[in-house]
Amino acid sequence: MLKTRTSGFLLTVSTALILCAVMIGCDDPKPADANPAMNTSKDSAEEARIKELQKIFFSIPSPVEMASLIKENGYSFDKGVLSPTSSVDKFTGEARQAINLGIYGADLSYAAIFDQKQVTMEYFASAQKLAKQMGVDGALTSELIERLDKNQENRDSLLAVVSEAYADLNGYLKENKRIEISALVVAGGWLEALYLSTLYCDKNEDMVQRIAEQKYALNNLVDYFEKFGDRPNLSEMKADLNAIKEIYNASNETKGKTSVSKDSNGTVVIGSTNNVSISPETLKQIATKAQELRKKYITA
Amino acid sequence: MKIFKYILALSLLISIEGIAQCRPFTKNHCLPLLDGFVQNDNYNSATLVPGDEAELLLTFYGGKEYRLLICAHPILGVVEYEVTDTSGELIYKGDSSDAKQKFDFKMTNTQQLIVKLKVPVQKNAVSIHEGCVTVMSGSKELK
Repeated sequence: MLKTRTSGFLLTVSTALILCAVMIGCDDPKPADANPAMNTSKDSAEEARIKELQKIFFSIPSPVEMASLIKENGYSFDKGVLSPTSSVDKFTGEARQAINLGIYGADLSYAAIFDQKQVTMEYFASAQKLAKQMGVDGALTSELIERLDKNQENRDSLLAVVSEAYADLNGYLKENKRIEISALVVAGGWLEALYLSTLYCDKNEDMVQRIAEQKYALNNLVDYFEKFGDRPNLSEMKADLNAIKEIYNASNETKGKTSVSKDSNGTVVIGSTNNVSISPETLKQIATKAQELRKKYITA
Repeated sequence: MKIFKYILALSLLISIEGIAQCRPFTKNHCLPLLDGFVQNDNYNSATLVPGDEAELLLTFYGGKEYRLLICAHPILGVVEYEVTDTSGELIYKGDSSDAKQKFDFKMTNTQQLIVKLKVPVQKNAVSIHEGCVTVMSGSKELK
């Protein structure tokens, strides 16, 4: 979520619009109406720019951050839980393709975290193929596949390349006026990471806690989708995110105090008494919903 | 003359949109500074102008170490930023200078923080200028 205030920018816009009005309008001057029209244009141009910026500045945790907890808790890699790459040619429609691009991205992160070199390469190739079908392959380049190949003995590098690729894809989409597609990729990745987490949460308090904490990311994601208004491409995912949010409304959230200290190395340590928790019943409902929605999206 | 008018109008409108190609700037000037932290997948970079203020809500997980990074094109001067919790309590104050653009911290438990940044107004500037500003975060496991 981003809020902007523009003071110097007002000068830029005013100057720009005055110049535009003067330069374009000098063939047919209409002095009586010039000021009101200009103010309206200035305001709407400023509002439009702020709205654009709010769509650019948005962040939720990466699927990597969810998937890493699965490995930390001692679970083994299971390729069978991933979305099959054999479906890559079957997804039709830009929205469905974008969501599956996000799902493949989360699966890529999961494979990279578990040092699954061949699987990482396979999913990257599928993501690239899907991006190409959508005409947005400017970020997932063959150069990145070469980097993955060269770095495949180093888990950090593998992870770094995957994360860098998806961040760059996100930037590429935003800069090429495909922000809605970018939102769907992020939502698809988040849904897949949630789904994967629910597979490992039996009797594991860390995983349950992390699933409960998805309430923050989900609220942020729902707010983000709201900024786009009623866009046909986003409507299905928006409704699905709201359906998950409905379940999360049963969680218990306590607002506490933030504490700031330094450890022995001088690094800042931020703590807080904030907490969010979910009951076993809510967890079950979240898992069921995540599995149902994910199945719907990966079924071509 | 007419062509010139439309070119000028078009260039001004492009500037107004506030979106420019900041990916090369982010890749070349910001990403290397994450150094050892795994980049978050989200891209937060845009062209800002003097006087702009921006606010970004971020979620940080407990048990991880993070690097928050603010990069700004030097043409904008020193961009100041603050990190607060969601109730507005100040946690850190920095700027885009080499010494203060990185903020490393450990999270003991999950919470959301707000990054607020401000592009300075340069009073004696002869022309209006704009530049890329990037907010980037990376994480790693606590050892």
